[in-house]
Amino acid sequence: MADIAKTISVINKMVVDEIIENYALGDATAVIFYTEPIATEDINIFVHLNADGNPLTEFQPIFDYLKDKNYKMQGEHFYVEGFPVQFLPTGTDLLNEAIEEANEFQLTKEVIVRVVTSEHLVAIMLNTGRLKDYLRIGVFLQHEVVNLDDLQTILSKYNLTEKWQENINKFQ
Amino acid sequence: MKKEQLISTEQLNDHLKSQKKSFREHQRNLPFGEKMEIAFSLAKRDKTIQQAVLLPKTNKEKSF
Repeated sequence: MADIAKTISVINKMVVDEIIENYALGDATAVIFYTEPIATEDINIFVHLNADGNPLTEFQPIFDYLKDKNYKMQGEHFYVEGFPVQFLPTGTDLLNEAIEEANEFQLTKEVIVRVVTSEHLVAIMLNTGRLKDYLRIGVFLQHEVVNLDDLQTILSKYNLTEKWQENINKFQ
Repeated sequence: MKKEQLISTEQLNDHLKSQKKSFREHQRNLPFGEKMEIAFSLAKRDKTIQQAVLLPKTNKEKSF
């Protein structure tokens, strides 16, 4: 069995080596972290890039770094220590804030992992608005891992309160 | 008799609900690495089911 701590350790080293500015686990991976396993094909990582502003080349340092370390690429994934990893850029203020304010957890004695807060995650899923996002919000609410006051603050800040009210019956 | 059946159905429902709840709690408390392994297996299972459902349709279309 692959060891996910080793995968996260490589990502942490990418921050130290200034390949990426910062990161946080997001999407289905973060849902799984806080709740229960749901189907996913990869580890989703939101990244702040040390980019030159060119969208065509912003991921190049990540590709070069991981290829140098002999991690293979298949489709949109890098296989890092046995796990398929997908790097996702952050193009909105909500995603940027989600990375900045991510929770840090001690995964093992040596490895810390950064995970998007459950409140930011719900706001991101609401904003994306796919059927599977709504189902995942439902899972979050069932597990009672969301601070509803903090969530309302984020929803209000990013003009998502109305969308929340309109769709709340889909999450129950 | 009917009342007895109703009670046993209710008991069975409660039992199943409680089993499901404790199973989900157990899944939630697993180490993160194990949860991810299960998540990948679930994705593979979904893909297999999807292919099994779609394949006969594809074959049928080809035969015409």
